[in-house]
Amino acid sequence: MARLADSGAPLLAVAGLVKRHGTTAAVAGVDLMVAPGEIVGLLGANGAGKTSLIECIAGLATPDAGTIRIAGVDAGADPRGARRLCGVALQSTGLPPRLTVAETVALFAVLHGGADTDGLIDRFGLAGKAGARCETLSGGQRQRLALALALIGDPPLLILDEPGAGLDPAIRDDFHGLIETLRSSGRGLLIATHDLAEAARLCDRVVVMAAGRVVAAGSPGALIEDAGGLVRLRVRTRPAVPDTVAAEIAGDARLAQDGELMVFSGGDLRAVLARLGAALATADIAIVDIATETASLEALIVAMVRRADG
Amino acid sequence: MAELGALSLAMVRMNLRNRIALVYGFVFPLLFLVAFWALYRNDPVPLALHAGQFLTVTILGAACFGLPTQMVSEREAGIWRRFRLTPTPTPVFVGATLLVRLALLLAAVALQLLLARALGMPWPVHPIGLAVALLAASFAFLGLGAVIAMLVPNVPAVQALGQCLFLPMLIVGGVAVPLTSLPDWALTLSVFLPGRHAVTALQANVTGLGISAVRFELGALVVIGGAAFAAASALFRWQPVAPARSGRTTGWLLVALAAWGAVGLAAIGTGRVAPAGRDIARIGPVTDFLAAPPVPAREQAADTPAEPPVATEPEKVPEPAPEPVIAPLPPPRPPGWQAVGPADYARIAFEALPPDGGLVSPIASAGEAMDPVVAEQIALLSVRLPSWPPAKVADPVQRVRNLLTVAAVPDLLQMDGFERHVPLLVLERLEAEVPAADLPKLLYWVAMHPDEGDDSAIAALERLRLPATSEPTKPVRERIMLYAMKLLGRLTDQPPPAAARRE
Repeated sequence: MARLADSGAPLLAVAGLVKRHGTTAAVAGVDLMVAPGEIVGLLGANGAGKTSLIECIAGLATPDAGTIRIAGVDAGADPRGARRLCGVALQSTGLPPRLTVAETVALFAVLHGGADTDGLIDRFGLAGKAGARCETLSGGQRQRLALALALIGDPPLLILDEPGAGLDPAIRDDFHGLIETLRSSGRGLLIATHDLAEAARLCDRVVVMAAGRVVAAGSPGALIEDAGGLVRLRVRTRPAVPDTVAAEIAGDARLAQDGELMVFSGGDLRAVLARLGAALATADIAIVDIATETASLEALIVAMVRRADG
Repeated sequence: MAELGALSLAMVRMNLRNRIALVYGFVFPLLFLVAFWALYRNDPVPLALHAGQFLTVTILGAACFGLPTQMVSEREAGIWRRFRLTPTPTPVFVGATLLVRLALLLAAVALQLLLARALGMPWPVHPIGLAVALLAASFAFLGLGAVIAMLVPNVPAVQALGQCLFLPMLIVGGVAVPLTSLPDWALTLSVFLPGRHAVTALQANVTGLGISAVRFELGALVVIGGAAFAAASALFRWQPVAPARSGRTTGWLLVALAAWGAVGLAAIGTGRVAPAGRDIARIGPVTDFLAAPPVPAREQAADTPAEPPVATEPEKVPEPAPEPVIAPLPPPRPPGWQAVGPADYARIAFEALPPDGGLVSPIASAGEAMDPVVAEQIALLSVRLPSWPPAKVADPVQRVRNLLTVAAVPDLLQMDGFERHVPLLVLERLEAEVPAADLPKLLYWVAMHPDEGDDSAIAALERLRLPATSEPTKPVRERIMLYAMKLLGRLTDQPPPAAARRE
């Protein structure tokens, strides 16, 4: 795994992928890449095409067009070889209810060609549940076991579907730590999630899908920054800034002033901050409170999806 | 192979830890067996003539319900998708599923056979043939189960579609209701259903002539299973959600059903619609086959040989012969078989015996053409019989009784026509083992004393590759009585009336 990760070649390279269900294109020409040590979040509303895209990458569905290469292996030409290089934990997959955790791990080790699973159960905090049947596990334990199964065979690429869903905050936090550990080991991760806080926290890049297409891609911060109209600057001064001065400070940004409170939005807010500092330095006006209001990623995604859907 | 073994082991564990699956897989077949036993407990040989039926019920249940229920529930739960994410090829996964189901099915069959044996059924005559027939029937029904699993969206739908196959086969397919009870239209319909061919193939190996006699039925099951597996393979899906109905689905369904049609038409074309006759009625007592003439004084006196002769008072005039009565008198009893003579033979109402061409105690006519499979089995029996220890015992009465057992048991089990030819072979052997002058006397003696002697020869039939019935032995003794009379009739030129040969 390390050799692949160190090579710098993308662990996942999807090009021009199309998947149709009947006459509807669930995935309509998607390009996607995941580099070693990178977590890519796949975002989008229900029906955006995320599931179809992931099923194609995981080998659960056959694409109608396009290519998928996993660590350099063409999944269309060598699906079994591609599966060896890709660990998948999907919400829509189940665990054999009447097998114990240890039996399940042992079974999947054989199914992955006799992979080494020493310490895997301990590593995921399931040692105390090794003899328990899967049907008796809690949601968090199931998630951990699913992730453990995805790691059997030491695949360089991991695909996780809603990894934090259904977990309480403490367990989710542990789980996120585990995912970050996996990233630091050089693996590439593609995470499909509706939890935008999770995406903002974990992902190096996010890819936003709508109507089967990628409508935005980049780091969460860059996406927010690119959508600057959605950022606000709240400044409270004492005494209040005169209207004319406030207008000068705002420049091309929108200004809403209510006594001592000024709210700037849109435009170049870094320039607003610079003008604010310069203007108040010469006046006897003190800044009592200043805060930047960053638009949420959720709001951003909703806006993008609405735009994409027309 | 490691993957196949690991998956199979995991699936066995999953099944054995599922109480409902255990009840369906193992308890229900035993309940069915007990039901068959309760229904047919008065048969001369318990369960033997219904083994094909109850074994088919077990296979049918495991295949039409057990297999698709497992497949659909695992697919619905996403377990299949989990397996699909591994590099293990699909055929390994499907193969393990089918192998485990087959193993569970065969285990249920083995349990059934053990319980049936405990209830008095003989061991199957052709165990290897039975294994072949079980595999063929399992192949056919597992294929159908796989088709059901691919067609339905959820477990309740398995029950609905499974019943659509299960019930018609039980009722009009000869599986639960005997073919001899069915009207003509149902008989014609039954040859299109795999259940009938399974029953016939299995029964032939429990009491009949083995797989060579049921090549058509085995072929039918393989064709039906092959078509079903082809359809199931084409319609295979990992996803729980069923695809929208399409012409492709309908087309493959028609392929599976076309095999049923082809098999049924072939059965009609080769005259296999009519079922083999069955008559397992109890035989009456020996007195039913005696004429009722006035009893001569000698026989009356000789009728109590165990007691010392009683001195009759000389002045007493012998009483006139009694008026004929409706019910024949008990048979007179000569002091020993050596004392039997032609006058005794005349006491037998040969015309009252079942006809040679009938269902009970049939005897083939001399030179009657033999089915090649029957001829082969008769040839094997003729080779084995001379060295059969019960035919060599010192007591001539027991020796004759033992040899007659060889004809009696196949007659009870109605072994696809084989039983018609055995008596002549037995007669040939009797003539070789018993002096010609003694044979009629011994046959008469055995016929008149059906409840004497021991039954150990029945158990020894297995050495002749014939089924050895267990308790009760009374039906066997009744058939021995009949064959003793009929062979005696042949030796004394008094054959029973001919009758149409059964088909």
